[in-house]
Amino acid sequence: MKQKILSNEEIAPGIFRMVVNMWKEAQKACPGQFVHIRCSSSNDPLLRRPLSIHELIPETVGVLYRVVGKGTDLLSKKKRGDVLDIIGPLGCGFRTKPAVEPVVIVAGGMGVAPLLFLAQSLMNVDRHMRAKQALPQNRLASLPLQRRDVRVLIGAKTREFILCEEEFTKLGCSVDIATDDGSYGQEGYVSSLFEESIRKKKAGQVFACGPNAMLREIAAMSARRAVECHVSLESRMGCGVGVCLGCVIKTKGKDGISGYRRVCRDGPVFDAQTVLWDEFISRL
Amino acid sequence: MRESVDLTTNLAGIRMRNPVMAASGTFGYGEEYASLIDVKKIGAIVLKSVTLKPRDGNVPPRLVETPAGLLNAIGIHNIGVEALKAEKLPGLRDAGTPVIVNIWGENVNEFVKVIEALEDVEGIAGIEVNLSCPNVGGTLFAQDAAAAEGLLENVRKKCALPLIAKLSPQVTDITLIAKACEDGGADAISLINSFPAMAIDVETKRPLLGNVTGGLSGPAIKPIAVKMVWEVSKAVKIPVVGMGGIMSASDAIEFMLAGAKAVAVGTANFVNPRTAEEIVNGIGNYLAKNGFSSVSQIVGVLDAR
Ligand SMILES: Cc1cc2nc3c(=O)[nH]c(=O)nc-3n(C[C@H](O)[C@H](O)[C@H](O)COP(=O)(O)OP(=O)(O)OC[C@H]3O[C@@H](n4cnc5c(N)ncnc54)[C@H](O)[C@@H]3O)c2cc1C
Ligand SMILES: Cc1cc2nc3c(=O)[nH]c(=O)nc-3n(C[C@H](O)[C@H](O)[C@H](O)COP(=O)(O)O)c2cc1C
Ligand code: FES
Repeated sequence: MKQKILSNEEIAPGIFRMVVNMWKEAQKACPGQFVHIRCSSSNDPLLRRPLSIHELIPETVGVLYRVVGKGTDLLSKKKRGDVLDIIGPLGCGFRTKPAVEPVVIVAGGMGVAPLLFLAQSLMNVDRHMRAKQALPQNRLASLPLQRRDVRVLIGAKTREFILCEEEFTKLGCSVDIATDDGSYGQEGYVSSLFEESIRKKKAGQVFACGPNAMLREIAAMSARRAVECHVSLESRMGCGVGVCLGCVIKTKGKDGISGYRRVCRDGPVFDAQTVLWDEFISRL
Repeated sequence: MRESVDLTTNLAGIRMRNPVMAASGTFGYGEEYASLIDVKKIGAIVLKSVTLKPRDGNVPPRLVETPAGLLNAIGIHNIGVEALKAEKLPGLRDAGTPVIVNIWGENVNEFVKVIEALEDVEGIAGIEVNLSCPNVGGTLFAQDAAAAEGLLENVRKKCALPLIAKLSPQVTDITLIAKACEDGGADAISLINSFPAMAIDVETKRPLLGNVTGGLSGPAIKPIAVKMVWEVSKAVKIPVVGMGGIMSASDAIEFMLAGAKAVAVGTANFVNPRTAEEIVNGIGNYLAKNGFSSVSQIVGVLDAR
């Protein structure tokens, strides 16, 4: 559980990409799973912080995070060679199906974090990574990629917060961009891009991560067109492994009966139509 | 030298390999942590409070972190005693460590029904009676000596297993409640449960917990817990299980010097699932270094002149 940091770089204002050597555990990781990181060896902050697995690179795992408080601030100060206490991979990830197309991926802001790993997996790249076939320098150029119709829609406040465009493109995904201020791509929300996209062509599966208001909209739009939609959700976590029942959200089950489910263990990825959105959002 | 140190602890008839237990509500049913740690290395595990019927628990958010502390308002979200018997206890028989079932009810009658449902169930080493959950309604037995004694008497009648009474720190005189539990028939006292507390979001001007208030645990409450363990262990003849903010072997030893025969690790499991295991090793090293041959030799030896 003690893992060595290989790099930790600021890739946009306040946003860091950290690569950690934790291959033994991460080899079996699924897109949508997260790692639980102890940011300080003292009692402040006390609890671990959950971060999604952002990418699989041979022998290593990458996370992408924004500095929002004490824990992430401490993380951002870590250097190559420092050792971190990490548990994971944890949770249930995105449930992808082999032949449904197109796959539409919707990322809002930091929501891009788990979705790059998802795209890697859809394109089969993670299989090569796990087999350690890729060269770190030209990670993707030499790989025989899966040809799948994967459409990635990325939204952020401004141009500088549009992350991973190049990575998705290299994987062979089509990428469309929206910014709130129009500084890059279409002006407006990524949900408008999504509406256009599914109007033109019905999606096979939709995967989304981002602010809750955005997720609720994507969920509603998907429901109107009867498209399967999975979202990755956040909640404040204690244990991260399912014992404390601190991270629950209310969902409705197949039988229509609602109940609490654990974001850390039953999620963080949920079928969007099972989430009771009003309750979820009002409770944050 | 280490080999000669005896960590075995007999807690009111519960025979444990060592005095370090996992606290209720912080270790699930043992299974979730099984892939991360060796449960056999822990003295005993105390399961999440179980009630007669399944309970949904409180509205989220249920957790807030505070300086060196964790504020929780789970609300005894649990699967109910029947599901516990059918789905969890059978698997726990092979856990390789004593399993203590923690019970809760809204009133005496409910407690009695839960204990009746557990009668003759295999694989239970002891019962912990939660008199002190800060996050649910019902009678707060831990704040009323007569009610506490009455509850223990009623549960005692139906229970042949070692019985532990778990107390709340939010009382005027903890020794009165502890003595009442002893008189009611408890075989041991455990303390403390989390301390009633709250936290507010100054931007939204709303409480940070869905339940408004919750219970504070973690290092922030440790000094309070140590004092209460010290007071209670002097006041009663039955053994005391100390808990509240234990993160390390030295924390655990503090509780033992103050009079705890055993200790329980709660919030620290979330921070480092190996905490209990590391504490077991740390206590062993401490005993060896200080020339003790058995862990019982440090219980209550605090020199408070
Ligand atoms: C399954 C999961 C995956 C996540 N993946 C990523 C990721 O890949 N990249 C990333 O940047 N962030 C991710 N997050 C959010 C990240 O965990 C929080 O930003 C982080 O815990 C904040 O810690 P802090 O100490 O810096 O901030 P704090 O000082 O704890 O809090 C600062 C602010 O962030 C909020 N916050 C704290 N913890 C969480 C949380 N767990 N979820 C949501 N809000 C929180 C607080 O309410 C507060 O407003 C994820 C969260 C979850 C639950
Ligand atoms: C998330 C959480 C859930 C808990 N649930 C229970 C419970 O169901 N029953 C109980 O008796 N105590 C419960 N407790 C209290 C702990 O068992 C323990 O008494 C308390 O947290 C103090 O110890 P600590 O500081 O080591 O956590 C819970 C504590 C936490 C943090
Ligand atoms: S964080 Fe403890 S159950 Fe999810």
